[in-house]
Amino acid sequence: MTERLPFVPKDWKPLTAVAAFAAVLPLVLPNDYFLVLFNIMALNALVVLGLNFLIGCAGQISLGHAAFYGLGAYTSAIVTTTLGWPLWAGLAAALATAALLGFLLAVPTLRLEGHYLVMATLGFNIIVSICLNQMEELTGGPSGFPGIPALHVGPLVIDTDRSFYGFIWTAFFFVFALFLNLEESRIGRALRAIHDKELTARTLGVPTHAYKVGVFVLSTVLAAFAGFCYAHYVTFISPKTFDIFYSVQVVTMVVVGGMGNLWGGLVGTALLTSLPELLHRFEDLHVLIYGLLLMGSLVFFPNGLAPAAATGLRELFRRLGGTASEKEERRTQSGPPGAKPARRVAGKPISQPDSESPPDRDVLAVRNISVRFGGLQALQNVSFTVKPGQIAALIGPNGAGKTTLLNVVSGLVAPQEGRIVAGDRDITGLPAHRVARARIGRSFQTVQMFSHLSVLDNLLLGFHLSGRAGFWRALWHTPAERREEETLRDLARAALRGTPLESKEDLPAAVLSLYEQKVLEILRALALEPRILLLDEPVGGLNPNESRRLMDWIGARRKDGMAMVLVEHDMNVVMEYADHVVVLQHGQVIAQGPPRKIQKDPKVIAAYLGTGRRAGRTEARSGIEETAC
Amino acid sequence: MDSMLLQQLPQFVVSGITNGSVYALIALGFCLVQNATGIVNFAQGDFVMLGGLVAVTLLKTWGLPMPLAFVSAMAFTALVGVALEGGPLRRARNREVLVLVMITVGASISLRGAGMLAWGKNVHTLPAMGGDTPFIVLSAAVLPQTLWVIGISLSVLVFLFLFYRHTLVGKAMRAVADNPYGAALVGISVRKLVALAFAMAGAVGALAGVLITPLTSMSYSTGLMLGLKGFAGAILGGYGSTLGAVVGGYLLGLLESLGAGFVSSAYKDAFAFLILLGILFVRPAGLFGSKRVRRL
Amino acid sequence: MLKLVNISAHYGAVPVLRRVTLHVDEGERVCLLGANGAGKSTLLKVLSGMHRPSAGEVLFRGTAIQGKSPEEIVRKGLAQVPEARQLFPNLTVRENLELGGYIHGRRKLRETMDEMMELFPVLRDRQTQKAGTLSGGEQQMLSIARALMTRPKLLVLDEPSLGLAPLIVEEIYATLEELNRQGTTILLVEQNALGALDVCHRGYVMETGRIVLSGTARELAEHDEVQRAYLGRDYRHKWER
Repeated sequence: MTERLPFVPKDWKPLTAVAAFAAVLPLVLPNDYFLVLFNIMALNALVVLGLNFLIGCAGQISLGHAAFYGLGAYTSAIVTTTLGWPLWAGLAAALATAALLGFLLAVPTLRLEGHYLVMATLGFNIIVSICLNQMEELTGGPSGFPGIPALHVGPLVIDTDRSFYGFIWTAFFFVFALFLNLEESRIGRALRAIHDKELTARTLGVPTHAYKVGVFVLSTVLAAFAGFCYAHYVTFISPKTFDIFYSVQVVTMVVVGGMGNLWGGLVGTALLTSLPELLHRFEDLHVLIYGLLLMGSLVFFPNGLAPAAATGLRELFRRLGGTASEKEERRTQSGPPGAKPARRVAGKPISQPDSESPPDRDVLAVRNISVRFGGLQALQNVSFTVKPGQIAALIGPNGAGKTTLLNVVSGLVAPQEGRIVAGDRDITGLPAHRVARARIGRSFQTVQMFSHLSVLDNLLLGFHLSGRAGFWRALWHTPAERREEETLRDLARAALRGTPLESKEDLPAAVLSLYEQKVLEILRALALEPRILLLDEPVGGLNPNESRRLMDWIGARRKDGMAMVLVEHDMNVVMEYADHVVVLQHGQVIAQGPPRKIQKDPKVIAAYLGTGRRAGRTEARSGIEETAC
Repeated sequence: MDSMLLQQLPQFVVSGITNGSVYALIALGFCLVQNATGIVNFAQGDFVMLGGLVAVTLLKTWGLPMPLAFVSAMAFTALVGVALEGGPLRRARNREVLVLVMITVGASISLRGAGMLAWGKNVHTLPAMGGDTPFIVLSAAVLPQTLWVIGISLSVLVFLFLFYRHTLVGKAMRAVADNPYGAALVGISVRKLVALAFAMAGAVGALAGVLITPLTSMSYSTGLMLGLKGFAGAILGGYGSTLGAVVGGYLLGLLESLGAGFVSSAYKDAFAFLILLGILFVRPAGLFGSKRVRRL
Repeated sequence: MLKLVNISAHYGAVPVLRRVTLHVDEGERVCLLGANGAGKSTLLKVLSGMHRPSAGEVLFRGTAIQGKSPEEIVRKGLAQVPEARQLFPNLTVRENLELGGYIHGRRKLRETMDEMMELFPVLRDRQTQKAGTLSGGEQQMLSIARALMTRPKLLVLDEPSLGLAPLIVEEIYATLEELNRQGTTILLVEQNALGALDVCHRGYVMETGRIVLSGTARELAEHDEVQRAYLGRDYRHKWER
């Protein structure tokens, strides 16, 4: 089937249709003026494509793509014209310059939370604009850079609007197919997860910073490629083309078309590239109309014009057949999460060789961990160990540092002192995605679902580390990459078998009940084949029946030698399931031992369980009630 | 060091402080909207343009007295701010920050378009307050207008500080920024406060426009660069911090003026943004930004 | 004091509340029990004016309040302690309390604030600290105190025990009883059935958007259905002991 062919994207049908339309178009166009318009459109579409991927998938905005577009154009102009080097050298220099500067810009800014990239790229764009204007001996200054040689492919010279049309649209569709492939891959899925919940993605083994930098650099290289084509097409460039206004324009195209929707980006580009041409007859009015149209489309179609139409259709469909599935959901909510934990299909994990530690060795050792947040001592000298197949419970009053301790183990918080050893590996201070690689999985206090993704995709993210195809292979959809993807899907489906989620793999995770979400979150963590599973209040918000069912299910995994660290307030759960209890108060361990002993420890009772006052009060109150009845 | 340049130092400082005052006011406008809604209002620079150009019309065409013209220009721009909030921003179907920010970009383009229609592409100017006779401080010529600019922006800062820290409405405004749902639950009308924030941002922006027009003149497209400078100032000081915005604005004005004087005037505008990049790389929270406590 | 008559509510096309009828009399402590997804939180959103019901009437002290803005409802004397507390984390404890009294302006602000510090002494010690730096239990107390600053006739609490250590939950429940003695009517929405029934006079049980049971606290606590669904093992342990 076509899905198995290399390079062919999943959306190959619409792609072929649009490409065919583009091929026929020049035959029916009345004059070459329109060809110029469509050529510019293709150039914009290239820039928008990379930018859309960045905004939609990685959730980062750049207001500086005009600068990379300009860098591509000017670098190649200087290399090919001033230096007189061949065209390929110009292309290589253009791409390398953009990639290098993009990398330098992205590495520090993307490490930070928030929208620092917007500001950095904005500043960068203005600096580049000013430099292009001022470095006259190099760039020709405001009056522009003339005499750039035309493009040629081998002996074929591309110096007419018509030939460039053929060249640039071929190039565009080629790159578009690559990006569709990337979106439809393990990497693409991880990128969407980063957009949604970055920390969660990290705990599943996704190296989020590297991926974001990768996507940003990819988009800058694409912009530089467009700039290169532009320079050798018009043969005369001036700084005006590459100012901040163009950056705003391309972002607008992405937003109007639909962020994260590559087809939408194409629609947005087509609309907004043609718009100023259509509005030219209004002369001075055209800026105002452009602005009002931008606002209007954002107010009424915030997800973009293209997805708006698609959503409309889907909504209609849902209204016709939606209520039945709602009822079904309620019914299956009380089903068991699977009598047996799902077994591996392939028997062996794809990556990570299994280094079974002998059962008497500690699978996790927390040694003298201390964490301070500013002046607050969150953890002080905390130590405990967990053996394979054991459940260690962390209990203690709110604010005792339980979740912080889990965050330290899973690599989200670096401790100031102490060591964390998993098996025979010291994982202290490793970033979360490397900790996941050491096969430590976790759940969160409030369930962390990638709510836009389907149940299956959520689970597939858990299998992220089981795959190894990178950006390059994903772009090309190599046969190996396709096979790997299918294996991952089989693994995920097998994991869902026998759970209440089995029939819901295509539903968005957001519509699941809390219980189902908790099951899914744990399944996703189990996909890492963890040696240690960290559970942060797994039964919080569940009713007693559900919590028993969930705990029985996870508890059964102890047989396979998986160890667990359980943070829980429900003392019934702790007493019933834990093998070892660690009691924290004010960041310090005040007691640890088997549950029976802990239950009787007066220190623990005073700090946590209360002193049984409640029982006494109940008597007193029922007296009142009798008079009230 | 060149002694000629050194002699000019006081002049650079004076012009830096003057521009800095205006940047500080613009940065304050960004802060007001940021603190009430959590969005970056890209139309802030166009509020500056509107303020300056409306004042030009009121003064020159309608012949209003100067103070009245200035106050009316501020009131008009405040209304534009309220309209932006009450219209497109409130009606937006998607409340995602990114979409709202892009709507303000749309508003910015629309205002620029409207400005071009109303005032044409020419440059306009206003007469300086307190006349054109400079007096000499150290070897620098200081116009009375400069003192007005500095004095007015400082008093606006003091006013805003008192407003945020010591009035219930000001505190409510911060509460709305922090947790709008919680604010509604204690009976704070979130809508009214957000509208008020936009009105104040409009007025402060217009004031900046009125103050800078006599110094550097104003056209329909000047707002963009002024807005970006103010934005850079706000980040320099620590985004969202009122005090930071003012200090950031002044610092930016000074560094820019010194950079233009001692290094190269051609790259004057680039300095502001080089500083911005440097701050982002070295100390992203800004000079006065503190880590906000995050809800989990 | 509060009367809900046949309230129905939807999210999009999905019905969440189906003809819910209940009442809370002046001076009472009433609890509303239900598992996750039973519709409790939606009911509270209807009460606070955050969600408009598709049918039915909410009468508060004799006037209909459905579809009124949250602000108007708070002014009428119905305050809510929301789920997840919803404090202003970057404002100080003192400022959080002041804003609780926003609708009354500066009137009697100081006295009401003193009363709150009396009720929750820990808040007095933390006055100048940012609310986000408080521990979970302290935040819950601040949230209750902030709601009380509106000087409500009826205080509605959404799962105040969630995520708190038992000792702190006890403390909070004791405070609620004290407040009630001083004249505040209380509607407590809980999942923690045992604790809530212990504190309240009467209760309702909600399931899939409907009220399925109602009665005195004792009646409910002894009802088989409640035992099975809400007390679960907890209750069994009690019997087996």
